[in-house]
Amino acid sequence: MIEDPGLQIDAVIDSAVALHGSRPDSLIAVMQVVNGGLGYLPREALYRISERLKIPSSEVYHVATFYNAFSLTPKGRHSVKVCLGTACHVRGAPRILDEIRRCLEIESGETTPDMEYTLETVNCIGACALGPVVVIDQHYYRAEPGKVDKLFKAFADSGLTVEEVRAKQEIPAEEVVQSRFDSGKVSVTVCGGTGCQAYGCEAIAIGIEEELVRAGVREKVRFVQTGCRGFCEKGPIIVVQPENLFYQQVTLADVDEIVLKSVLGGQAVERLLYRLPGTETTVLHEEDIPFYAHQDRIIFGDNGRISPQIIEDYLVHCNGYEALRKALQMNPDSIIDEITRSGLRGRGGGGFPTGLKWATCRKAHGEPKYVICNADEGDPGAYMDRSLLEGNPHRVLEGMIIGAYAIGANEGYVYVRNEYPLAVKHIGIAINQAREKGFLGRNILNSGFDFDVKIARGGGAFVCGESTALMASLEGRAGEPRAKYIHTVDSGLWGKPSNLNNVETWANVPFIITNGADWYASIGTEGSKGTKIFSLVGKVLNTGLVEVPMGVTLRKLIFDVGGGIPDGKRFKAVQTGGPSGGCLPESLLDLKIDFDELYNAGSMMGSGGLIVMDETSCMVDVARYFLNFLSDESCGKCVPCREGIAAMFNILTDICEGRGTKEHMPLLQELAEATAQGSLCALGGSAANPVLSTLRYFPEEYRAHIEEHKCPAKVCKALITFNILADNCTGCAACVRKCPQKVISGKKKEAHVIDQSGCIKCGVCFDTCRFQAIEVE
Amino acid sequence: MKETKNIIFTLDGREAEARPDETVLSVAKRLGVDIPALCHHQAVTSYGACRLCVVEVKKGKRTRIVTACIYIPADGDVVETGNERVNKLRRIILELLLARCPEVDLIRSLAGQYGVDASSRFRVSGSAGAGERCIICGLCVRVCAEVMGQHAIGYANRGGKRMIATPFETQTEDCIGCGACVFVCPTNALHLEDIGGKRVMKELYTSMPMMKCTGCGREFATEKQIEKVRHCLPAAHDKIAMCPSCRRAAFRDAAGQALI
Repeated sequence: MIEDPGLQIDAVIDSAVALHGSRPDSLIAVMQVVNGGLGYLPREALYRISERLKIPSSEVYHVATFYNAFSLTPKGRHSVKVCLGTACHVRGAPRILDEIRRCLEIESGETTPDMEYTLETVNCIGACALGPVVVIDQHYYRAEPGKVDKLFKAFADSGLTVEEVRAKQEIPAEEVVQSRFDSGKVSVTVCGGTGCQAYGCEAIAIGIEEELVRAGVREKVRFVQTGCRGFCEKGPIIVVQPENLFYQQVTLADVDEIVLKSVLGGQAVERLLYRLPGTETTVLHEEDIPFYAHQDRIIFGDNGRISPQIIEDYLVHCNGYEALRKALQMNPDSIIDEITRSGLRGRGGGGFPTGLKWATCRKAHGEPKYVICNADEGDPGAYMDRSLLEGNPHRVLEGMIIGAYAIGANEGYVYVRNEYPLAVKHIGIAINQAREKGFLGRNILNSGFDFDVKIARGGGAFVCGESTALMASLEGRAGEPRAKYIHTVDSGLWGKPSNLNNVETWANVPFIITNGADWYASIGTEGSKGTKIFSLVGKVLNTGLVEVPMGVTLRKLIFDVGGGIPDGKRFKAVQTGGPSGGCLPESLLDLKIDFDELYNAGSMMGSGGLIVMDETSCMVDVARYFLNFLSDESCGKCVPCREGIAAMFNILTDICEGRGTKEHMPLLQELAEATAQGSLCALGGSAANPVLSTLRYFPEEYRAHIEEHKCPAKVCKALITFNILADNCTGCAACVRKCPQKVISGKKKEAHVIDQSGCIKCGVCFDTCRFQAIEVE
Repeated sequence: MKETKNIIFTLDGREAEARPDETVLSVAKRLGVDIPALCHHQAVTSYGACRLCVVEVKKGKRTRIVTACIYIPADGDVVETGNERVNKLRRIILELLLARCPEVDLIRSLAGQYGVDASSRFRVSGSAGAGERCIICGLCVRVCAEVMGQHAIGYANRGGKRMIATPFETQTEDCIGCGACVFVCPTNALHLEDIGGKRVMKELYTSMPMMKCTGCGREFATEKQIEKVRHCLPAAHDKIAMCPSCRRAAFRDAAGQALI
């Protein structure tokens, strides 16, 4: 430990510069190292960085204040991050945040006086199926309104070992039939996706491995910790082969039994099998579970078969790098022709034809050319790119190498969200392994083609999903977009032709090369080919990542795959396309999901987030939520986006707080159209969609707020009151203890009352009451 | 291959010719067509932030809105600089700016020209209404970096919290007090005052000593400005610490002496 703070700063900066170099484009990477090392960016450090990298301190300051990843003030020992993504929002994230605020007695962005906790909000942490999510340090928790204290207890307990947690139970061992292992086909896979990690799969994986060792079969069983299998609602998930037994919601206590009974004996553990909802019928295999049965998991299915950290797994189980081998025998133009004919369109949001983009970039003048993988998945409610990079990074890499060869690029970048540490780690490992095997580097597979990839970690800015902003960020600057009158395929990164595609787009490429354009074009609809991965989250029974052919209806996705709406509630809307998309009503449930249908309905595909909302979601509140998100995430450069979004947000706040007037709806319409037309980039250009789509499909909800001062979904605090129903109240006083305002009173075992004058409408009493005695009006 | 021949397009119904790489705004200025613009200045690169210079471009069947300060026309483009769609958009932009900076005369008069009510219907970001004069057009940032080479001013934060700032919102070593930012600011959001031997620019947290003319003793520039000139023009050493009139007089005298 170096005591002198100045020396310590120098030491950290030295190590950062040694790692990332002192070119100006290293700025963000260097600042990430320094911020990580010191916990924040002291003023002195920023001045030193400015000197070392020869960047004016005004620009360093801009970058430091632009990205969420950086802090200019010291942080507490533990970071508490409350996710405010859409899926978390509709499942009560604002209430979780309120409770944690009260619990820690600090506001978001502040640190407790004892420097123990720093409370922060994140616009989407990418664990949408679990919503509402709270992340304490690196631990993901599924939070419950009214039970925030549990979170901190769970966090305090997170250091416990397997032995301490494992319940000691005697399970009769099956006789180990040695011949069972001769086939070499016995395997156990533990899902290691972010969702399952939140449920403690790490400890379970350790437990399984220990049991295998104890049973003396570790060497004979293929034990794999895979990437995300998609059914995040039911994690942790374990699959045992060759019987293909699918176990869900496994706990540490189940580990011994799984190994003894299933791995050694090939028998199923009944209670861990999936049960069809409302029945006692169990399902043995993944493919028979309705959630999976309706899917077509071309891109995503491999996640469950391999360890993302072992290239041999990819080579053996996924036909890995065979598409690259084939592509390198082809003429670049015929590769582009194949991609064009396949009809593949960009999965990042816009749906631009991939083949056309590649062809334009190939023809563009200028050297060198770049290919970029956009893994800055910022759409709240979407996390498929995370799961692909975490679960099968080689597939993405293989797509990129093929693309680079076709376009004529020798350098590539993966721009990945810093909020996804596992994705950063896995793509890093994959790049190193691919280099060792000769899939990257000079003279790839003796083809004479050179290509290599670098990783750039994002700084935490949604706007960097916009290609020109992403490229500015890669150059080490604040992520401000520029007008795309000149396309990035002609003049992108450092003014050179640059081809940027999204993670999922790249992952599609090897399949098209292997199976041909005709095969690919046979899947999907007229205008949208192939399959699409959706993140099905919010108020839906089976949350998770699903892959279906383009053209499947919303109804099929939400009700057949998703299992419908939980708790007997009624479907109200589905939000697609993130903040650029819109909310679609029940009447459009039979809409076939593809790029054009969604666009024509006033929404868009976006990156594939589908956030389901029920009768308890207020559509005005949802519109307000998105505008708040966008006003935080807008770069702030151009007037219509910066001020137009703020103006729309303020109007929506007025409506939600009971100050709405009849002029507000036409005014919103006018502003929304102007913001869409006048903004510099696509963020502002589509920022109005949440407003326009809710105005279009749910005008009656706006009118109820404005004319009757009522929130039909009972969400908007200013328009609701909490009352105690005397008939149901047992006088247990549970609510009295929890009420932060201490405004509930009453005699023991007699009906209580709420003093409305002091009620802050936090809803804690509602969440606490076990007798349905709290009514919301 | 760089395009070398001029571009022929239509500007408000008449044929116009643009040099390669020339923007619509530049052509319009040359032809006397008025397009309002707040974040544009000929001394610095175009930025496309205020969006007031929006115009409509028709390319074949496709019509879209672009900003004249950065859009470079192509052959056959049909540009309309003041049709109803464009004016409607400008009205909203002006109304948003008016909500942010209700006291800025330039915005009030532009708003008046476009028929926008003096009281905006909107509430926007920032400290709107409370004497806010900055529209974050970024001209000060660009003039400081591109013309003066000082990079003293930049931006801070993003979205609704974005603002013009010196690093850490304190006085910066990089500022030489030249006042180019004050000169270029379209909304008088920046001020410069020479008082008590110091140049004070309060919005930039800056106060620095003035230089006294070695001839007449008048304070005529900041010490840092003179330092910068000395650095850039080492040859001009002896008379550089004089105010312009004393310097002229000194040169005149020297010339007279030489004649004699």
